[in-house]
Amino acid sequence: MAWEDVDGRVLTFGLFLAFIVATLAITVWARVTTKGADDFYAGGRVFSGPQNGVALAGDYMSAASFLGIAGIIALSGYDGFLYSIGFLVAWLLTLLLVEMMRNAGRFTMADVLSYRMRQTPVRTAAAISTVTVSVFYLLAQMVGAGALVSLLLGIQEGERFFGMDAGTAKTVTIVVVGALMIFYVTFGGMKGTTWVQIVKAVLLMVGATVLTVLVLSRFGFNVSRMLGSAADASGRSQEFLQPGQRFGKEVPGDVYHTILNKLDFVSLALALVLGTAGLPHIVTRFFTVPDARAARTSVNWAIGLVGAFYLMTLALGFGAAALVGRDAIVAQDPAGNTAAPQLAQALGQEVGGKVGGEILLAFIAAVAFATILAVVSGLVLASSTSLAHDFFGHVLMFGRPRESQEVAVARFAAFLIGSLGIVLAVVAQNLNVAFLVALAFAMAAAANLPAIVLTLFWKRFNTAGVVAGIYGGLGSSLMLVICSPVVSGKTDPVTGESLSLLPAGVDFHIFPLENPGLVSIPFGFLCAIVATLLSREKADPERYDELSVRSLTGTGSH
Amino acid sequence: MVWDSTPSGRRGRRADKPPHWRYAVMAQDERYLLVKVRFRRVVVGMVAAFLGWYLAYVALSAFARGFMARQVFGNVNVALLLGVLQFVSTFLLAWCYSRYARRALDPLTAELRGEAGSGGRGRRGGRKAEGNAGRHRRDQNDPDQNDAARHRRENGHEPPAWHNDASHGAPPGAPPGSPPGAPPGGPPGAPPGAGGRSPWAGYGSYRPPPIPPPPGPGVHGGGGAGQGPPGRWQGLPEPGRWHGPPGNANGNGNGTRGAGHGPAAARSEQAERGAFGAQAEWGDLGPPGLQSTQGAWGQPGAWVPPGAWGQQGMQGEQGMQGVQGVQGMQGAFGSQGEQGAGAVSAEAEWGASAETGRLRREVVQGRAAREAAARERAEGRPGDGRRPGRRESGRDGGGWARPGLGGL
Repeated sequence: MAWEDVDGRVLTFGLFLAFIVATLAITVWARVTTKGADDFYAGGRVFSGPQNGVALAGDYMSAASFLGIAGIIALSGYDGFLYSIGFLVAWLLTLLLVEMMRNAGRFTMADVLSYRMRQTPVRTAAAISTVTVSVFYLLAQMVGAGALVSLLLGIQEGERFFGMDAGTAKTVTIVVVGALMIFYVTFGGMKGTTWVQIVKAVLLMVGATVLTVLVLSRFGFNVSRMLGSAADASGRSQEFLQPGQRFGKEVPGDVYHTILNKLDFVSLALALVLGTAGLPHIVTRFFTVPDARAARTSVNWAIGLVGAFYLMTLALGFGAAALVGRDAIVAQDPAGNTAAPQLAQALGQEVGGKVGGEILLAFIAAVAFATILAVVSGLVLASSTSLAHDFFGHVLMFGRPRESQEVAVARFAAFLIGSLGIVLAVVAQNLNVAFLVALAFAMAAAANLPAIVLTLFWKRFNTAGVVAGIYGGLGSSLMLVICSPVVSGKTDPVTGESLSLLPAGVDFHIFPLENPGLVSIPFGFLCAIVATLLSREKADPERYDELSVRSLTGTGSH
Repeated sequence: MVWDSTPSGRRGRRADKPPHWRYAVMAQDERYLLVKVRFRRVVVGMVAAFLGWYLAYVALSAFARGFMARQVFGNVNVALLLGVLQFVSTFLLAWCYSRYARRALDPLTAELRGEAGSGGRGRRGGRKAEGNAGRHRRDQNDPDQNDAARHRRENGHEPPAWHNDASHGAPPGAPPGSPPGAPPGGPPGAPPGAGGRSPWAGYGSYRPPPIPPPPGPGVHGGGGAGQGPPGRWQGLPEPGRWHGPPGNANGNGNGTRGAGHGPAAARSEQAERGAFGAQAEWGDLGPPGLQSTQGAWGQPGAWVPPGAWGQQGMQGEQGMQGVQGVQGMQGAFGSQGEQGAGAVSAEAEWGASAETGRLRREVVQGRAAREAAARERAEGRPGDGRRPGRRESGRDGGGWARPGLGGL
């Protein structure tokens, strides 16, 4: 076969298959060695700090980060960078909490929260919160996956691929991704999923590094020159490199909307920085290492990898703006998600001609595919763990299920949540659900963070406080989003098309901000504190001492 | 490296959960209170630092666009520069915190955990020991660390006291049998409360502020303020140096806190603390004898109480190694005059005999646990069985309904 005839699409597809085969093999191996609850929920706690750190980074760096942020930077310049800063700084909070949580908990966040509280209400609340946050995040990822994979395979409207048109291909993609994700989780458990994360994270880092080096070498490793070219190509000159292109836009002559836009940006920033420590799929991963010290090491590794990665997306985004150009990116995908793959193609062509371009494009597309698959698996695992361990094991079975029983329920729950994710994603595949990622962070920050922090640090905190904090934070986030412009009432001022979830014409938005974090996070804390002070229930100081000793020293930890 | 350690079987399922009263006792332990105070301090400091800086950055991005748009060099403007600085500060803070935790928190928590006899940990000890040894060998090659330590020492930047060491009963006056020339109660000019060497001395520039005495019972009687052995930062002539109270080696020869009461026990504790600078490096693996004074203040030709040798000698072959370890360390002090380096070199030696160390640890831990239990019994601590089994099982992630596994 002559190299000139290589069809990039076939190559991409081949790499997809190679990744799938490799991960399936890992999963089957993990299935063989997964024996009990420790193995299924926590990978037997045999992962080393660095391994778990790479997996944490893998869990965290979703396709939204890789393609989304590169795309935002390519289209809106500097503002995309604001996202990555929030995503990274959030890890410092995680670093401070990780050891205590690792020591105090066993498999889930609820283990920590219910340590000195009444089991049933706390675990129910924690399970509901975990599943809600995970499913919203999952939905965003899967809808994105459908659109993305179709794009990566180059299936345009009116084109056919293996006899499928674009719409069918999207649905098929969602179903295939969902099926694989269910398989990884039900069979591989935490062990299989962790290795999938590790493989994915390594692929992602390699891909991003290769692209970054190529981009920078194109500009003689002169960052200033790259920024200059990007600014020139964007047609907005220096403004492209300044904040305000996308977030906190200033509306001339309208102080009210200007302030609202800026508050909206602050709200998003707050949710990003406070949400990570409460994301269920991140918290579940704290328990896969043997002790707190390894947990700290793993978060340090994650900080290093995530930081390096987001610095590289800066180069990718500005590189795409400079080398591919805004028009070409928007032509492929108005949201800019294909900026990184297009950049890969452009760079590959410069290095190795048409073939080089196709090969690099195929590689980056496969990396994106791996990213999507790994992240959704992590989410399904986190929510099924919580459902089985917290809700089934402790609420329904009063903490005394058989171990085998609970694991079986966990596998079934993974199947259930995976299926729910598939159905919802297929239904919502043509809706604009990108806001769900930010919403998931806001919910995690508003519902989970107050409960975690106050449980660990406030002696007086009690069951009523945990329950009120979780439901208050979760409920307020949801209500505010439903009443916000992302669900209804936001229209394009030029075309009149709806920019919201619901079609134009429906408008019941009351809350002006798109991100609820600014209100719902303080509200979550407030609910937790007020409910604690109002309830007559007395916290047990001895139990607090026990939790405190255990979480700080690791005495008696699992 | 990531790939080096593949999962190999199941390691370290928790063996025994300590009984309830264990936690109650530990909650009063002054070392635990110290850990708690330190941890809360560092959490508040870190959160204030990173959240304040991040929110300031966000506010600038939102409300100070003119400032952010200013160009610094080439096409790089203030906004980009501050953004990259956020990355740098994140890395830096993470590094500082981990360093601090490793040096100031881990040794204490490891010690507490070891005394509580938290079963599952023991089996992991071997692996940890190797990990620690590796880390220390790395530190040895880290010139910055030693340079920083020397720099601070020379410039007298040491913190006054690393905590209320004095409250643990620093020896009143010169110990009996100390070498001639050992200053009674420390030399003039010793900072008040300079009860020992700062555990974060020599650990880079991060140095938390002095910590007030932890409240609550369990703190050993004070009164030793200002009488502790001087830190090294005073630049005293070497031969006249205080070499630590005698009896430390006796009290600490087995690597645990002495079971006795009274001033002798207090002294041994104090020495143990003073030795943290060195001990910090081993965590709970500190080989017996090394926690004794020589570890912290040992000098070339330091006087060693006969009891220490005897004690170590009684441990037979292992004891001999312990002696060698001490000697090696002293040798290192002699050549480098640097406590950190001394600890490191001794660590390297110990790393070489990890197996011996493991055996010794088992002996030591078992003994410590027995002694502690005896002490608790003698002091009439609240008994176990405060709570019925049912609730216990539910509390911390619950037990499986499997006979024989109990509340695991």
